[in-house]
Amino acid sequence: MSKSSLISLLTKSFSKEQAIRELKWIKNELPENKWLNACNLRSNYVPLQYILGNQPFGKLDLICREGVLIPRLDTEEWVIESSKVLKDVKINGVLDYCTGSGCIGLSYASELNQVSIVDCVDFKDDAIILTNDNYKRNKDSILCDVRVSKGDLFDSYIPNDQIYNTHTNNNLLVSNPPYIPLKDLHTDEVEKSVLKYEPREALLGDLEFYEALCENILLKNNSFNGFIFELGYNSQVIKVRELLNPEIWSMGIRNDSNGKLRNVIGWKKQSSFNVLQKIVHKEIL
Amino acid sequence: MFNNNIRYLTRIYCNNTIGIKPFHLFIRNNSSSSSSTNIPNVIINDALNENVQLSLDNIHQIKLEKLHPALLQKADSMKNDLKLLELKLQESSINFSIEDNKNYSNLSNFIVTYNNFIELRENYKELLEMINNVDEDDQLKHEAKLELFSIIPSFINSINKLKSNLLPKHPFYDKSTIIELRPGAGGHEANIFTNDLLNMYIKYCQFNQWPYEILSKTDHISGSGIIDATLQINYNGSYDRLRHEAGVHRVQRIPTTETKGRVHTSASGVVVLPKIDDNNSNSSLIRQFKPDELKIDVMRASGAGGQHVNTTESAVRITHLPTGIVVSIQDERSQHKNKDKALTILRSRLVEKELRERQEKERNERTNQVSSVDRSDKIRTYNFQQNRVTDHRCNFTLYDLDGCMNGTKLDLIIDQVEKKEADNAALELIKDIESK
Ligand SMILES: C[S@@+](CC[C@H](N)C(=O)[O-])C[C@H]1O[C@@H](n2cnc3c(N)ncnc32)[C@H](O)[C@@H]1O
Repeated sequence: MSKSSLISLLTKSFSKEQAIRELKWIKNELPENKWLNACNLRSNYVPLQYILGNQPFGKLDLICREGVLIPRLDTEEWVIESSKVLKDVKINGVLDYCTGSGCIGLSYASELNQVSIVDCVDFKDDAIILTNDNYKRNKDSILCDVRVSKGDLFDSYIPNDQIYNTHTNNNLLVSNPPYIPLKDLHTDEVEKSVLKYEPREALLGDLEFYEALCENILLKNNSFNGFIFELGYNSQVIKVRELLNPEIWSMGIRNDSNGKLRNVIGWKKQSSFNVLQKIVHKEIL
Repeated sequence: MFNNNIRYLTRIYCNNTIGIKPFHLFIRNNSSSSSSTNIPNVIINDALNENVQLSLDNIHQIKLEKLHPALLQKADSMKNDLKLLELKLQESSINFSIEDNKNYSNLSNFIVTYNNFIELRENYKELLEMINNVDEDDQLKHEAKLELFSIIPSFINSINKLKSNLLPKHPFYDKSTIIELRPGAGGHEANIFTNDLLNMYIKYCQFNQWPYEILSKTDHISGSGIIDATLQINYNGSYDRLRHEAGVHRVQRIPTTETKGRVHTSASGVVVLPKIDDNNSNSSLIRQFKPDELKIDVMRASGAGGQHVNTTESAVRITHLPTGIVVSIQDERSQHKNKDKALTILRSRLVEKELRERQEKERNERTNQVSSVDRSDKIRTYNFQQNRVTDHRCNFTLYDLDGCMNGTKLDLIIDQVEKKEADNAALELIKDIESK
């Protein structure tokens, strides 16, 4: 099979630049007998990460499988950025809710050595299995204890442990919950490939998730002194602000490097998580 | 550290060995069978920069380079400096500063080279006298020629080594290297030739056993040729050799796609940078950037981002605002790895730019302006029809294009460029010394 016919498969669906780039990665990572099939799949918009089976994320090499959301570059960006400012903060537990591939929790576990434990929680078996596999694959890069458990945010599930109900502890809640509202799910805003091949329950969601994160987790467990949520809409920021007492919490938003609203971030006043202010672009009152 | 010894030894080549190996001469006077068939095939570069095949007939007529008296004067004064330091050390070792210590060891190394040169020069003179003496008997003359045969290559070595020891070192002589390749004029053929050059440097690294890494490479859509490439060579001292490769390389050949058999001319630009943030170098020396010095762009599709899209576009473009230098890297699937690579290249480009500007300034300050090298000048032509590579800076032609392209004979050309540079520097130095 000559190269030009592989490339022409890809240019059917993608720009020339993207086609050249992706063909190079396919050739780098797969044995030659899989190239043709890979290009065929890709030209049908199957995500490259499912075809190659992995995605780099921070220091980690994460396995990607259908059934679990592919970690995004936008997510990697805030995880790395926040890790830099959290480096010297003593943290008891980091709870990564809606962990999916485990990318956020495992990445903190590889970047922060002042953390006692990282908890990864998801309600889907595929995600739990994948996070465990990713933990095993990247064990050499992991600096602290990691626990993976199954639980539903709407059941207020919390890993059964002293860590989160000890008031004096200093805990962090991080989450990238599904945040695409139903009215947007079938518009041009969502890429064809995403809608067709990535799990719907990892995408479809809105204010209810931020409400649950605040009411079921943050406010029920007084030990959480900081949080970082990924989101995509201003209404989601407003929801969080409404639910948290501004006397206790400082909050701000962060934009991604493409200038798009990407996070709401909060820390209890006077807590050591106030370093998070450094990655906030605008404080909200 | 680059070994000067090895470098200059490679200037002497033995024709009957396969590949290029430094040729060590072990010729002893064996009077019984001293017929010329026992003489190995040795080719040297004489003072006129011509390849000359050594033979017993021409051995005493070979023109060797004479070092300028001013250079020898400098060597003598360095010898004197060493004596003074030795005296100082004898008097009291307490007064011997770190600076003294450094000078002492540098000068000691130099003196070994210088003494070796003097010894060989005496030897050479004596032998020549013998050969040119009409009263001498033929058997003795023959022996003298044989001995001359054995010392000439070492003598040339020692001349070159002494010369380069007397000249100032390049500020980045001990650094590793980043090479950037980009096609110039000539259409698709230029893309293909750029890839040929990339392969040449890779093979050259393999030949020298230098570890290398392709930092970035963009293939041409057709599948043959490249749009750009960046090669990193992780060998300290490789820069001092490879910096001579910087400039425009021109190719003349019939492209495989050309049906009428016409020769095309196309070109590639080669930029050679010193790599300064080596792992083993002091991290405090690594240039840090202020936040407002850099503009970092990631390439993202327009639209919502986040969960809505799953982009594979991990390209990073860094603009250094004070200089306007732009570096883009898109090879890695990981965005922050692309960013790290881009920063490495940016640091190298800045260092090279600063050096170039400093050198230009110094040149302008000198009244006796030497011809400055323009980066857009073509430095070399690869002519496939004539199986030759010509370097225009030193007017040297190698009639072994394959040997050049497979990396094994590239040294022959670089040697000549290096020598030319050393010659020019020597002229400068002599002027400086004489005008004092
Ligand atoms: C947008 S994905 C995020 C995955 C991963 N954290 C990341 O950043 O790539 C959302 C994840 O939330 C999980 N999820 C959805 N509803 C949930 C719920 N009610 N309780 C716990 N996890 C839930 C999904 O299974 C999915 O893995």
